[in-house]
Amino acid sequence: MGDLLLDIMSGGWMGGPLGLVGSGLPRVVNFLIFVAALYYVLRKPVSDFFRQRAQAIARELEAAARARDVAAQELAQMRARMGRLEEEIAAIRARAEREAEAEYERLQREAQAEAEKIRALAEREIEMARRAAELELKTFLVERVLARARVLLRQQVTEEDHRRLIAQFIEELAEVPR
Amino acid sequence: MIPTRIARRYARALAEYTFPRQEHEVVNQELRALAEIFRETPLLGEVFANPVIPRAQKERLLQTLIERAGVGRTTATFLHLLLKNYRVQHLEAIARAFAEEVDRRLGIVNVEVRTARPLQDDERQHLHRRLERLTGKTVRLREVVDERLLGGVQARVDSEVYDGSLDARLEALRRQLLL
Repeated sequence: MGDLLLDIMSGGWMGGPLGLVGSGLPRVVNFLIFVAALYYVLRKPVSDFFRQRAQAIARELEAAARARDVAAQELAQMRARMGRLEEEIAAIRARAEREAEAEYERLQREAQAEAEKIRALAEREIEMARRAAELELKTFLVERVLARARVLLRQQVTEEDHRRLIAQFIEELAEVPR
Repeated sequence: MIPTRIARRYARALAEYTFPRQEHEVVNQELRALAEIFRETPLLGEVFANPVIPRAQKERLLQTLIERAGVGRTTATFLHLLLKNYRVQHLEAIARAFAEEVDRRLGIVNVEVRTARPLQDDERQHLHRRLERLTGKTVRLREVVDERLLGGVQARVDSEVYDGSLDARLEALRRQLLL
């Protein structure tokens, strides 16, 4: 359309593609008619175009406004979080310290329990070894003493002792229940 | 080896036959004598146990044995019965079981008495009386002088042992000390 207007202003339109020829008033009238026709034909699409365009711009403006609001909110939140960061760091540190303390205590309890078990086991083993050694020593001593006693008895039991032992056995038989 | 149960069965059957006829003592003695012969001559048992040797030969051998031992009619018949049932080779066990059965029926109990020194007469009589009072049966004493004993007496009545030896006292002391 710009080219056409230039062409009109330069006067080249009279032999142009519209086939409008002549000069003076008719040409002006023709031009007005053409303009009117053009306006009639293009009014609606152009109007729609500009309205849509205006609406799109309005939507873009609204979206931009919303984005700005969101950004502002995020910025505010960020600032607020930045403000609470120290507090959060302190809370995280405190929680970590509490957990570390609890873990340390748990490990300590487990280690103590394990140590107690090992100690009890060791004590039992020591006690068993002590008893075994005691029994072994006792058995050795008893066997030695009895072996010596047998030797002495064999040497020292007299005929009179034999007779007394036999008599004693016969007496004891009387006390045996039938 | 014949099971004790089978030997006892023959012994009971023979006792059932001999006791009413008052032959148990004689038969007991004859069986003991024959068992002694079998003990001294192991070949006899082997011959009677050998299934290859014909029964007629075993019969002749048994008859010779009966004649030489001079056993009575009841014992001879019993021996023939054992031959018929292939049990002659177990005569020792059967004779032992019969002796026990006779003792049981007569109320006699065998007591083995072990002492370090031989019993004196009065001790023997006293002990005999005590044992008879204890068991409530007639006691047949078998005395064994065991020099391994330190002193005292051990008396075995069937499966029961009454131990009055010094050895037993030392053993009791040993157990007490080791508790």
